[in-house]
Order: sequence, then C-alpha cells, then structure tokens
Amino acid sequence: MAQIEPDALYDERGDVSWARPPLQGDVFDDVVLPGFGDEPMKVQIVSHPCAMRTGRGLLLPRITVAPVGPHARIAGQRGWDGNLRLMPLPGLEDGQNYATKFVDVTAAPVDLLTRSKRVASLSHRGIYVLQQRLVKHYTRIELDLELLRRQSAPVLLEAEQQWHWIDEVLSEEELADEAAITAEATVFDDWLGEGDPSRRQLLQDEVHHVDVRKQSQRAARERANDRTQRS
Amino acid sequence: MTVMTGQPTGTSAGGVTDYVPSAPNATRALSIRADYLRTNVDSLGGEVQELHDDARTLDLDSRTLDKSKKSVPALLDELASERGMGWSDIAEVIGVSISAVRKWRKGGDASPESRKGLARIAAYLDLLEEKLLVEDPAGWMEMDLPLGTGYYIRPLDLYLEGHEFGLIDIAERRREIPAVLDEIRPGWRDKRSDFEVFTDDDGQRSIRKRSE
Repeated sequence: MAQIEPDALYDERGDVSWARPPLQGDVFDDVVLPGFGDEPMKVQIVSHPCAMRTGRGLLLPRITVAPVGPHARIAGQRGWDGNLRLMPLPGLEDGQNYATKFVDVTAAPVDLLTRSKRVASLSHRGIYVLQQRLVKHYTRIELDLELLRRQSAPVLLEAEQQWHWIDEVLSEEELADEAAITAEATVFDDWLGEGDPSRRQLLQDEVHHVDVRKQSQRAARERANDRTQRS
Repeated sequence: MTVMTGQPTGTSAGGVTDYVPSAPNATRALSIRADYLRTNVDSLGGEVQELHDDARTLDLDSRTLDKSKKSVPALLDELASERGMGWSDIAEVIGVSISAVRKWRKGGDASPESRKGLARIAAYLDLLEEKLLVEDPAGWMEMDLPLGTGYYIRPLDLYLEGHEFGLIDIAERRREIPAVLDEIRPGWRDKRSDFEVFTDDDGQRSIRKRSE
C-alpha cells in the first residue's frame, strides 16, 4: 500500500479555495452528521468524483462521507500497510494527526458540506492513495496508483479546469459567494458540453488533454475580459 | 588436452605456465587484437557518453538560465496556456501544491528553487520540441509509453524521478525504451498490472481485470 507524506497528501489545509469544486478526499469540519449524535465532527468525502454529480455537473442531494477523528500517527510503511479500515490524515490540523474511519461510511445531505466548512483538500496523488485504501478496504484488491491515476485522469482534469475557470472569471468578491461560484460552474459545464464530440467526451482520450486545457484557458480569459469590459 | 609452451599474451594474471589454449597462433593473435579493440571501443564509448551528457547538461542549463529571465507568472502562462500543461503536473514537478501555483499566478512570491524548477521544465519542453522534434512536448510527457498492455509509465513520471537524460534517450530513439528503463528504473518489468482501464457503458473510465 502506498505511503504518502503530508506535504504530498494535501493540496490545501486550513484555507481551501472556494473555486475548487468539491472532490473526493475533501475534509469538512463542524458537520452534524445524521445518526452520529449532536456533536459536530469532521468528515471526509469518499465518493468517487464520478459518483457525486448529476449529468449537469451539479452535486447529488447526498454525498458519501466518512467520519474523521483524532488518531495516533501511523508511522512507517507497516503503519500504512496495516490499518486498512482507515485513511490516515497526518498533520491535518495544527500538526495533529487524524484518520478517516471507513467502517462508519454514511450519506450526508449535500447542504451540510458547504465551502465555508471545508478545511482540507487532497492532491491528485492523495486522492489516488485514498482510492487505493477504499478499494482494499471493501474488496481486498490492491490497485496500483498508476492505474487509479489513469482511471481518474479525465474527471480530475475537468475539476482542475473548472477551478481555474472560476478563479479566472470571477472577481475576488464573487469568489466568496457560493451562489456565484455555482452559477459559473454551470457556465463551465455548458462550455465543456459543447461540440460533437463534446469537449468532455474528448477528455476520455489523453491525446486531447492538452488541446482542451488550452481551449479552456483561452475561453476563461476571454470571458473574464468580456465581463470586465461590460462592468 | 595438448600442452604447449605459449607466448605471453599480456592478459594473464600470471603464474599459469603449464597450460596454453590449443588455438593456432593466428587465431589467438586475432582474438587478442579483438579483445584490445573492444576494450578501447568500450572505453571510448564511455567517454563519448560522458561528453554527450556534459553537452546536454550545458545545453539544458543554458536554456534554463534564459528562461529564468521570465517572471514566475510569465513562466506559468507559458507552461499552462501556451504548452497546455496541467496545473497539478506543474505543481508536482516543482514539488508544491496546486494552491501554491495558483497564488504565484496572482503575484505571490515563489522561492528561488521553485522559480528554477519552473524555468527548468519550460527549458526542457523547448528542448524536446526544438532539438528532438517532439511536436507537442507537454502532451507527449503525459502519454503512457508504448510498453505493452499492463504498463502505465509516462515520460512525466521519469522526469519527476530525475531521469532527464534517460528521457531524452527515449525521445531521440537512441535506444529502445525497455533498455533505457532497465537502466533508470530497474524492476519496472515486475510492475505489470493485472488490471486495465476501459471506457464503461456510461462513458466514464472504469477498471477491470485484464483478460489474456
């Protein structure tokens, strides 16, 4: 099983960009999880990115999460190889170590998982490590990270471009407005769905990734300029 | 066995005087000359390789220095917008988070090491395009190498592991890809996956056991 250091595991800790779309591995704080008492707790999204959105890119009403709690550091390769019911989250908050408990996986209403409550996001490699542990936990099958990387490439590229698009197009004020972000995410989703085959379909083949990225960056820049000129 | 008194060859460790191979003198002389020439060629080959690596290092260093004149936002624009490199790939090459790269785009300070890393990958992509005729270097870096079913190794992975010149050997087709990998990533042949990625009925990628 893969072992990963905190600096490579997380993309952001503490202050997570609101422009980043919710993704597998995101950690939220202060969530009162139905069926888990009245105490607010930390949770981590464990749904695969493909399994948490509708056809139009909107989030489903409920997202699969698992509770996150304090945990002693899982040291060394043996620590990562064992503890298969957990996803270690070393140094998640104030240098303290936490872990996600797969045995308590449940569905959380999406309204509970707001951007203001998001306290950490994982790097792409961190997401592959989470996926590897989830697959092993549920099936006892161990998949290589390279295979998981290849499987997730189109959807993670899409998420990355959406993040960039929103960051490029919206003003600083709008980047703190959840409704404005959701509306712009829909604009990006429409743009990605254009063409026959659509740009989203083209993402299924690595040959087109560079072209779609370039088009996306150009389109976002043009849209940002248009908005600036109109205002 | 024929025991002869032979001429010294200069290759013996000494001390063995009662045994000489039974080949005729002319054959032995030819064999000795071949040994000598092969040794010279091997030695020369090693020197040529060192010289070649030195030249490549100078070339890449010089290109990196030129790129370093650009600002960090300009380097990021070149890599992401002009080359089409992914933000996560750029971040991984530099060894930082995507959010750090995002802050640099908006004018945040990057460390000298990060700036050099950005200049290095920008120079490297130029080298691939200009000298090695890789038309879309950013795209080439993220395509799996043609190693057969079950192997998922990208040029980008080799770059991340520090194998700049091994990767250039592959791009130049100077050597077969497996031979280069044997040298720079021993044990890669044992990493063949029993699983494969395929496009599922819903149009998304899935993973299944490979059938052979």
